[in-house]
Amino acid sequence: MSDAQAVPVDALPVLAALRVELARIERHAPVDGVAGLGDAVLDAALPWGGLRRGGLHEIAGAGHEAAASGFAAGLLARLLVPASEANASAHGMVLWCRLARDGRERGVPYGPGLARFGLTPSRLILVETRRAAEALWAMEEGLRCRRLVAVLGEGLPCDLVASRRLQLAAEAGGATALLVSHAAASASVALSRWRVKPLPSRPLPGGGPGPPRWQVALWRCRGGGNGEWCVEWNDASRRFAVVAALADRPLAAAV
Amino acid sequence: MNGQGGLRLVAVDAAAAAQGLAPGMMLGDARSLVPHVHAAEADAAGDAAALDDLADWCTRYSPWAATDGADGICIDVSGVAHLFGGEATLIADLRARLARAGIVSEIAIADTAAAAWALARFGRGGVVPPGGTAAAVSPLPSAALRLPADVAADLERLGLGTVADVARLPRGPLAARFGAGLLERLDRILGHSDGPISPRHPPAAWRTRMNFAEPVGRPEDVALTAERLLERLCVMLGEASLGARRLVLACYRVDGDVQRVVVGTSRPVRAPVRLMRLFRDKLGGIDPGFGIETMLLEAGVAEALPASQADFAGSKDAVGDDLAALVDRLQNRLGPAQVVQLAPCDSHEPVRVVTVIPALSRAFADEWPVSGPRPVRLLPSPEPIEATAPVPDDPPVRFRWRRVDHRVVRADGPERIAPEWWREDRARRSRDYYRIEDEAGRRFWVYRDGAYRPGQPPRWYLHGLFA
Repeated sequence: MSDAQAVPVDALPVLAALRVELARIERHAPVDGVAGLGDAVLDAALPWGGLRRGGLHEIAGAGHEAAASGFAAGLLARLLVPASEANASAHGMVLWCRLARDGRERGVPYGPGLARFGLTPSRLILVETRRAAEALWAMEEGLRCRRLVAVLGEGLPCDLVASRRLQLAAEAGGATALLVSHAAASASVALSRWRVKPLPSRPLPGGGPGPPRWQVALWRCRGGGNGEWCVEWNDASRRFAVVAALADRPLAAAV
Repeated sequence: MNGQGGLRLVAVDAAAAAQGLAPGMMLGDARSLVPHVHAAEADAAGDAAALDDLADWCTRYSPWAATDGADGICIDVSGVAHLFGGEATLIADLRARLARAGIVSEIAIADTAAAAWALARFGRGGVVPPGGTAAAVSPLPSAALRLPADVAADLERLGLGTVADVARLPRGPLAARFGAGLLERLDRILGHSDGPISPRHPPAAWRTRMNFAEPVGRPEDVALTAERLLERLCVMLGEASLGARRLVLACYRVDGDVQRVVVGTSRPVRAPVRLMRLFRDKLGGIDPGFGIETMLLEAGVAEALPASQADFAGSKDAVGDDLAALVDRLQNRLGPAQVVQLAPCDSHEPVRVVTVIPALSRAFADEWPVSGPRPVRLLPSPEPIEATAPVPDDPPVRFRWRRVDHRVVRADGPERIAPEWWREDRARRSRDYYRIEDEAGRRFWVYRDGAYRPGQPPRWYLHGLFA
């Protein structure tokens, strides 16, 4: 960019045109390349009007792996909603890559629990690797496969280069890459970067924990702003819903 | 060398034999005959392993190659000799290759394995023309019958010194005197019946090979050859409407070593490009050593694959194949157990309700049984927690897990999950599961092991994490 300031003024329109052309080539795919999150506030916060398919998105849940898994499962369920009626019959699949050694510490993805997020376990292909490099390789391979809707990697140390590779593979293949990180944020070219933390849920009438509720922060988003919301997942309608923080509404109103 | 009443010679080389040494001789006697004899400890396991490797290498001539006893290899060359320019040329080729590796060999080809065994050890070796077996083995000593030591000694004592002597006798009394085993051996050596050879690697019906005039060693050449072989094999499979599920590429090195690469596929495949992609990941594992002289590709497992599936690119099947290709690549690099899918199982126990199955091994089913609230993450083994519950049947009000205290704000339960009585696990007790949430909003799945019993502190475990 510093070079651009040195060019003569009459070259600027050419540059502008080139930038537009570049943006067209680089991303901004067809309109069906977006998965709505089911909530107007969240969708409006994203420059694409929903989660951009064919790109890398990152979810950080340091110390809150379960909350991050839940949020990611919700995103996957939204991504699995067919983009158009034409491919509604196709069985979209999801590749879930993780490190074998993480299981003892953080638990393993549990099918019946994921099913409640609308993520049918039959749609999952689970990959367990010893080394992070293998998992990243598996993710890249998966992103190039047209039958996969999304590829999720969790607990993988991902630097700038690795994130760039994932982003490129996602752009090429059209599948969406989700990285659920356990560690502190590192440099990344992810289109959107989220932080998820659990919040006390709205209690059920009997006093039990209600639907999962999180503090969701969109802290970096390419071409967009950021924001922080109190978000709930609705099992029945399979969508996210932004709720007023600490709202204690009666159950009927919320559903 | 091995000891019975002292060290004895087990084997001698040609130079030692020329000096009058022989197997079975005491080491002391040997030393007195040849003072500078070089003796080494016998290594039976090492010898067996070396013979195994050699038999492996012999599969370059025919898939039916097996070790035979402690010092022999048996190869079934029926129908393959013409590939090497006839039986006599085959023997010459084998002898020359073995000699280059420093192995002294005696080789015989005959109608039956038993006759070849006898001729290689007691005769002059070489090729016995079909039907000439009986004449060729008749003058051999009766030890050539390969009988147990006591039977052989009996024959010797009765003056039955040669195979011909034994064969001349009436069969009835012979069987009565020495057992049916002798007749069986006699029939085999005379070519009346043949024993089976158990091959080292079960031979595949679908195989193709390439011999090199000059040994190859460059990875590019190996890859190129693999590609050619795959193309050939896929044409063969295509003609039979089959697809490969398991492929073995064997590289025979000039030094007698055999390097094998195996790839598996989740569905029958006969697209050379796709199979080559699977092989490409693994060809790096082949060590060409001083060069590879023969490469052999075989489809170990082939299943029906109608022509239509492979031919209409872009159809729905092609999309499915795309996914199968991905799973194959992942499984071949990471191992089949590392790439799995979940399937519902008819059970209500949290751990048994899901089974892990190899990816794409079942038809896709979008139905999944509904269950109560379940965590998104399950700990592989439930972890004990220190919990305090004011009333025995209540959820805990606070608990300590991994050295952190949690105060429970909301709780739901219990959901009693009883062990399945038809299982043999007597120690298992029913579990009361609770869904609890702490003040920070973290949600857990905990259970109390067994029903409350007065005077017994309840044991609590944490099993899963809710989103």
